Amino acid sequence: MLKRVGLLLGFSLVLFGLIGLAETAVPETPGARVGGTLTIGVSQTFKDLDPRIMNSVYDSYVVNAVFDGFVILHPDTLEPMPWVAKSWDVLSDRQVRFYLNEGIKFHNGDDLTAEDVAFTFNWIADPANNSPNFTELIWMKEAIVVDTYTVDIITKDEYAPYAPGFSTETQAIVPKNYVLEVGDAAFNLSPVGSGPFKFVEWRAGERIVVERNEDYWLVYPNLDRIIYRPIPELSVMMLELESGGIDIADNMPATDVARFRAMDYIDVPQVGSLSYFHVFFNLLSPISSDIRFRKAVYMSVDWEAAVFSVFQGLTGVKAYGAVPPALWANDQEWLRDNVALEEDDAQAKRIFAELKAEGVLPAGKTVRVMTPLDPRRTQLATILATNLIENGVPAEVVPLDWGPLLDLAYRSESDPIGDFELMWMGWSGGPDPQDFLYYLFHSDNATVGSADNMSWTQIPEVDRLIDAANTTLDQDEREDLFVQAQRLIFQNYSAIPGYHYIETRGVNTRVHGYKISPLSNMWMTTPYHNVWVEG
Amino acid sequence: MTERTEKGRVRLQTQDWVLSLILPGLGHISRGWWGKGLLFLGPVMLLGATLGLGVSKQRFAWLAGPPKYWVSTTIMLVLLFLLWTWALYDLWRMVRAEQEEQYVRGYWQMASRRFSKDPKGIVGLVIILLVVHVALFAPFLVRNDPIKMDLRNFLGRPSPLHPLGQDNFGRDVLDRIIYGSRVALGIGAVATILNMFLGGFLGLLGGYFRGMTDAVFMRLLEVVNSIPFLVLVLLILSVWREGGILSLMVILGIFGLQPARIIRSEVLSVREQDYVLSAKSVGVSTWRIIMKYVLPNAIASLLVVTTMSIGVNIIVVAGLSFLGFGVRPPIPSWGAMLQEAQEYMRTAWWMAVYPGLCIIITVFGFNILGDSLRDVLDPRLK
Amino acid sequence: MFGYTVRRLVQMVFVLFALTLLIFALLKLMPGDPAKVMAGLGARIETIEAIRVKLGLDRPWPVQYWRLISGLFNGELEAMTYHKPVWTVILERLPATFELGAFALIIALVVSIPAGMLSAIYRNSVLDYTVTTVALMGISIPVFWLALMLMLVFGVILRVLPVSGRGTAIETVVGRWSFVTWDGFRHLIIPSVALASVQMAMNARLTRASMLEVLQQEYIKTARAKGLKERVVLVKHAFRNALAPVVTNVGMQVGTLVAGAVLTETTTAWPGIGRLMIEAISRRDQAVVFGLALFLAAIYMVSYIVVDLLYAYIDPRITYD
Repeated sequence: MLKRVGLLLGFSLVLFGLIGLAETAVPETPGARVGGTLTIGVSQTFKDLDPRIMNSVYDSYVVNAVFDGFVILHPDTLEPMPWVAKSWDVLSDRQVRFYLNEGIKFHNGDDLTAEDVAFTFNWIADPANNSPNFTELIWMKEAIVVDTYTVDIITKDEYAPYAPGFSTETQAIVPKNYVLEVGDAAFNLSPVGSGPFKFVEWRAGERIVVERNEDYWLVYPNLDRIIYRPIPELSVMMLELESGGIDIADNMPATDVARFRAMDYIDVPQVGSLSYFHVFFNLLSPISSDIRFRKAVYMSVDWEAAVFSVFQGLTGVKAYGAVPPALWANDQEWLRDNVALEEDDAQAKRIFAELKAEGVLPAGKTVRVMTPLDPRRTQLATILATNLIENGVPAEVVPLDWGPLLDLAYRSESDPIGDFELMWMGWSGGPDPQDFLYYLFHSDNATVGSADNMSWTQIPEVDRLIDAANTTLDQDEREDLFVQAQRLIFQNYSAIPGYHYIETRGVNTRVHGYKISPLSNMWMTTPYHNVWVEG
Repeated sequence: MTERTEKGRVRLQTQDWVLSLILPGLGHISRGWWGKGLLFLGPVMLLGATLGLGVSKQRFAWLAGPPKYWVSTTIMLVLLFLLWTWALYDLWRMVRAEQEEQYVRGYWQMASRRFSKDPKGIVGLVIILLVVHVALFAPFLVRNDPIKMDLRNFLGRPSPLHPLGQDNFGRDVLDRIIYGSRVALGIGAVATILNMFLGGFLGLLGGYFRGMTDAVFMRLLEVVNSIPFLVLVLLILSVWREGGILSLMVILGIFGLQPARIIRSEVLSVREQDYVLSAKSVGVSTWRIIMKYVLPNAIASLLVVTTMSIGVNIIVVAGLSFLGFGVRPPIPSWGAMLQEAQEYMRTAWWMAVYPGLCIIITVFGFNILGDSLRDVLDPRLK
Repeated sequence: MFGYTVRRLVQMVFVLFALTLLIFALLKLMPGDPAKVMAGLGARIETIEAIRVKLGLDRPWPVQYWRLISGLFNGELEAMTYHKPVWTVILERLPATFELGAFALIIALVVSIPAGMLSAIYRNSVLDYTVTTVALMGISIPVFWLALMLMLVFGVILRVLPVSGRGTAIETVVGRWSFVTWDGFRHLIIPSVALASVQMAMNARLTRASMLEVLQQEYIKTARAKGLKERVVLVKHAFRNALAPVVTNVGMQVGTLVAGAVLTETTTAWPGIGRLMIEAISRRDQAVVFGLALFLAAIYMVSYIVVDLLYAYIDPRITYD
């Protein structure tokens, strides 16, 4: 599953509380053993290691280790805290000045300076480079070098009065001279950063190895080496965790949680993640565009039971809105009480019969429920299809690889409507509700060829509310706007909220200092972490 | 008793008629031919029992019910009719064989005699018939709809209510296996039959007519065979990603071209035989030559190859379903069941073990039958 | 003989050429755009377009075909989703599959040939029945199911073997090999046993049939009539002649090994080219699929040619010219 990582930085906030701090924190790990290798099981194969283009959470595991971030979100409060940038001043509502730590060196010996910071940001923000992370810096006008260790970030006028906050791997700083020297392609395969670990090797399909950066400026990393092993088959990863082949598994099916918890050498930390998975309707299709159909589909399934059977209340919770419970402005309760529909097969059957009689549901038509190959969504799709069949609507599940699925979802010139009625999709966002609502439901994003608003929700009032949330910094006001927007979206039944993932990892007890985070990171050594392992 | 005649007419007695009409096979048994008798009696009892099962569960409600019951019922009645008629015909033939002095056994009679003495073949045949029976009459044999979920009771252990346990949706594994047999046999059988016809036809043409037809055909065969079969099928299925059952059948049908090669070599060897050459010189039409001489000889190997092919195709379909290319959920299929079971292997082993065993038993049946057929139809024993 | 070999090789070239057209056509017909996969969710249309241009997907088909073919030959064809040349991607994973296949083959031969021979010699004995029945079972078992069961029994329940993946490997000039390390060897056991199962069964049957056939030949009877000891008869005459079709058949089993490898590698997470094929198709990496499919076909056909030559070498009665 492609998780879209990173915040829509323009829409983050809460910078102000931290102006007073002028130092990067240093992690303390009393009693830590220095040395040893940590092996991490990763659910997908790696694609890119260049932080400027990397946009999958799995690639971020490695990038987290090899690069330093500009700032870091505090593990508990999720507020931006110093890392490479040791402090900052808000000079105006369009300009923030950042002061960098001095003495940071890249693995090739070069110093990390404002040049590198500006180079990194400007490269991503330059549309000509076509970075997948371009939209995350869309609010930025440019990054300017003031002096060797000072950088100014300027916001575009149309995004004022917004002061940006940052975090995540996309703001990992790359060495300008080195990148220009070896070229983007080579850099992507063999990255050089300033982080606590040096890149050693990438065996495609097998492992990526990094080893301790002996000269790391912040703290001495406790681990000698980290090995990242891609194991796409979850059942196999569980077997590896059990047998000790890996120390950390980045995912765990619900059915294994109780079993692993019972083992005295495995911990199962969990945290609500910033993710949202739903089955959306193709509002362009003649069948799905009828709201009676949408409501009848909602009523055909006991969604609580369905989500419970797949996640057993352990690794996923039923969603009632798009903004996850881990985030503010989520409005889950109101939506549950006022918008969600109870299972009512009798009424659903009646409505379907009515639709058939009117010809909205043509005879002989099999409703197509598309889904990516992810087992969870495929299972939920199967439940949905089964219930539809039982209520008199022939249905089938069509699991597809990402390529054909995205082709279909994004619509194309040759098929602008999309030959499907329902599709399961997922989305991860950053710590701001805008990151969910703007992409998924604003009509700006209903464009043929690249539509993140895959349902094609086009409600002018919703657009207005979402746009308005960009123009104010008042938390309460924004919350109000987001709540209103969500209510409109879901009363329209554009989508049936599915579930929010509960990040669940399996961690061998020989690992100490690992903290799970809603951002799905795999932090090893940062201002707040310095993981160590027993012998 | 039967009148002894010199040749030609042999008539059955009233006694034979009556007994055989009550139950096929009784007539055989009354004359001491237990083997044959049981052969007829068995299937009839089985069909009767299945019918009874259906009736007992739903009275006669299913007569007015969904179409799937109609199809199965019709097939069942047709089969029963055929069994009755064949029993009578067979009885007549056996009596005739016994009485007539100059009754000459043909190749096929000899072959079926040998077959009936071979335990391997019988076992294979029985297995296959049972599986076919289950596939044909699945609606009568299941307790519940195989796609019916029981979300509150997922991953249930085997119990009296669910003899083979429940899967992760709470669906009954046994019911799904029963319906899964339809997919396995359906695709396996249809694909193989398509295969046989197409391959047989092409092989016949190429082998007999040689020249351009043969050359083109052989080149085509080479290209298709030059790449590992599974890889080619995967590529084609990816084009047709949403094809489902039909695409699987077509692909397997067209691309499992092994029979074509075998038929071709058979035909090649036959056409050089003396009797064929003499027939040609006398002016017998090509069509007749093919029908009368070439084809019957080729059929023996065709039969063996077909049987083995069905077995192979069932495994290939299971493998493709396992990789995610098979029929679409929620239709049950053995390969897909195995794929779903992978994740729950540790906690619900029944999900993986039983469908696997079904595949093994079914394929074993076909393989052992094929083996036995090959021994029995061995041309050297002609 | 030489002429024959040359002819066969030329033929192979033609067939490969026809195959390139077939594979290219299939790739173009496949729905799914690798550019969208690379760009990920939330990408702009311009980004997707830019990636398409970079991958050369916007050019007309004949141009794309030419790029694939020429790139393959001069070794510079870049994979679309792996950031490396296609050949590098393939060769990186080739040793793993080679190890797997070789071990499977060795296990299969070591078990099946003696079993087949003995069951032919002691025909209709208990041994014979056991071997034939087990062999029949063997070809009825799906490879991936067997792999799952082995993983379950030996990996999880008994805990004597590692469950999946490849163990530690040693880097050499010709790639990375794992069977030379103890850890690597242990990881190799389950996948190769699973893969060997079908080969074992087929070979046992073939050996038995071939041996039976040979034992009925005139020259065997003659040898016996001459008074030669049974053992000599068996070893000197029967054995060698019976072996011929078996050995040649082994060559043809390269194809089935590859197919079996795809399933085995996927089930046991073995990083070989079988798994690569599945992955590349899933990612719609047209360059890798193209290169890999042709590579496999070439191996396949070369093994056929080798088999034919071997056949002629072993059995002097056969000539091709």
